[in-house]
Amino acid sequence: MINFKQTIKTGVVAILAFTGSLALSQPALAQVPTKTIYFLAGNKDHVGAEGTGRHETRLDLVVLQHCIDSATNIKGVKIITKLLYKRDAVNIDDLKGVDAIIVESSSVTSQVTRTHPIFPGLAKDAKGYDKATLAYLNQIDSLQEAGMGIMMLHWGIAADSQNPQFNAARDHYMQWFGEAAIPAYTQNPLGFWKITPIEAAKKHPILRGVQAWNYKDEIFSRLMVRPGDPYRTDLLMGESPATNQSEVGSPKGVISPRCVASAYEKGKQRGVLWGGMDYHSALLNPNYLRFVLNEIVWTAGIDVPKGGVKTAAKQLQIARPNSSFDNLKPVDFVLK
Amino acid sequence: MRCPKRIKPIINLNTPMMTDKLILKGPANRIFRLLSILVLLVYIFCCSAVINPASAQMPTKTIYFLSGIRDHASPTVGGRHEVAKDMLVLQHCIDSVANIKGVKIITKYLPERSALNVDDLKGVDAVIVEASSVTSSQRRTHPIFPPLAAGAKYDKATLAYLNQIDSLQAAGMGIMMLHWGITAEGNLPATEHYLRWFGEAGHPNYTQNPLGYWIVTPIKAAAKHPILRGVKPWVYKDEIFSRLIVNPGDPYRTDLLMGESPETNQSEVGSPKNVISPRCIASAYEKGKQRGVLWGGMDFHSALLNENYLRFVLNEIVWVAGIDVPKGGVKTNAKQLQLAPINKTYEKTKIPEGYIEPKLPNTK
Repeated sequence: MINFKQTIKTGVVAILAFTGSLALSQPALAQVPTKTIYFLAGNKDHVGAEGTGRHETRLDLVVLQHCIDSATNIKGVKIITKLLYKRDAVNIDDLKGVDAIIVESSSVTSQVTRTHPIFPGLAKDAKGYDKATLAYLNQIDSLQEAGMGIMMLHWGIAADSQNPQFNAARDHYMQWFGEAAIPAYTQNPLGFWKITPIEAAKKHPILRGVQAWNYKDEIFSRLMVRPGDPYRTDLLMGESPATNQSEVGSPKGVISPRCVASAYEKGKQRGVLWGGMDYHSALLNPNYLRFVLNEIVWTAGIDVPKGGVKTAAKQLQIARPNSSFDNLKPVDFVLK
Repeated sequence: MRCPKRIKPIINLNTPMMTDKLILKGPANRIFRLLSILVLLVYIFCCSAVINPASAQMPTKTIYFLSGIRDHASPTVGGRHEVAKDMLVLQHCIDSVANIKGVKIITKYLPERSALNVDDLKGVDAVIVEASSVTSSQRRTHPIFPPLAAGAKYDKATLAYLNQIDSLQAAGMGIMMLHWGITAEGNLPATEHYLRWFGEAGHPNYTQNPLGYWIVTPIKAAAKHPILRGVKPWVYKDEIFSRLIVNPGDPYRTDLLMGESPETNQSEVGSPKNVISPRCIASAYEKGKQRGVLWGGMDFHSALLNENYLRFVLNEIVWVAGIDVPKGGVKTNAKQLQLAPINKTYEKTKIPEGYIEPKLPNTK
């Protein structure tokens, strides 16, 4: 005779044992760490309407988010991404628990209205930020020190102004990135750039799989740093035979080799500024894209895979190609 | 075709020379011999002067010491911001140098230079400047830069003059600046020239001048730089203009010294109040023939009594002038290292281990 109670007991034990063994046999699924990356785009207030291929603050980040979502060679970590457009918060409530914020925007100095996802604008006659805003910015300091990486792209990296009202922003840049723009010195030459990884930094994770590239860009550069800073690693040198700007000591339009990218790491704190990323089409250049993806991943505290980040993303362009300034290209300049 | 007439030689080589027939006898002969010996000795002396390069062809280096007006720190107490007296002691030290061979050093001291052209600087191998900042007042305080009113711009002539300084430096006239004169925050053209001359510059509301007892340590990676020859770490009271900004990846700049202080009159973000964490406080810039250095210390005149401090500054001066810094650093026989009283202000802050009380050479 079948003992019904005994059968039920045996069945329950068997089910528990089976599910338990499943959980134990797949720790990767049960304990996979999560990294959360926020992409913050500021208002596109510069160089044409959205979709025209330059200063694409939102569309660039949409493509980069898509690339990270489709990363193929990052193992052992689950990456959660989110895009925030025109962030206007002056508190950190929405940034708590985030591992990296990737910001593309115009400079905080661009307008009195807010263009920058982190820094509010300032009225022309304002002496500086009020106490509440300064406290909010200090909280960003604390978040970064605790491990929230910060990366900024293009014009958003520069907070230089003759008006000292933005000194607080500059000071935070020095703290977050170990570098900052200074008025009447930092430049944004637009032309055909030759970018070369710095040999001494070749072991830095951001340079994994990154080879030299040549491409059209407006690169915010000649940022200033502290001498002897042990937390900064200079990553890329850039030069151009023909741009729309000049520098003392070089022929008109020529930009001699200058450092155009660094990485900053101090304890858990990570920060990078990338002054390029003017043209949306730059993301079609494999080395350019790999460099930017490596930066994002490194900023988030994720191990950059050997050979650099690879992505299965197919849609790398959601804006029109932009041929402005193509006339600057020297005949012998080879895109690569 | 007719041959040209043969020219008759002026001297007939077949004719015996007059000297063959000139035979002197008696006292005249002795006088002639003595004269011959004298002529021979003069000839040998002249030849030796030509042959001996050490004396005849010894290269010369000219160093100018330029001080601005002393418009800062107590005029009655003395011993601080001694722009003129610091320069005079350093000039004296260079004039009395004991271990630089193979070069003749000419020095000159120019107080309160007011020129707006480079006429007086042509042919100079180094200018050593100690002054208040160009932004200190509307009087000219800086031997190189004229003052600039807020919001004003230098006129074309002044900009051209400053560009000529660029050219002089590019051609080999080293430039060194000391103390407050190293910062030009608020004066954009000057800031740009500083970046060009020294690869670094002060930055408004960022660069600091903490005053306290500093622990100064040569940077290991720069140990082979000539300026660090014979320079060991030192502890001394100083106001050091620091947190200058530089270009990243600049191959022409060598960072030389780190400095920190347990207590100063200023604070920095990320450190306890009044503590200055290690920061780079001195660099050297070399690009082709161009050499430049900024030394933001040199507040207290008595710092020159500190052996390593003095050696570091003398090495800088010599290096800037394109002179080989001797092994072990510059040594001087100068005795008068103080022209102002030892200033005792700011002595109540924390004193790090290793501090040596300055003493005048003739005191026990």
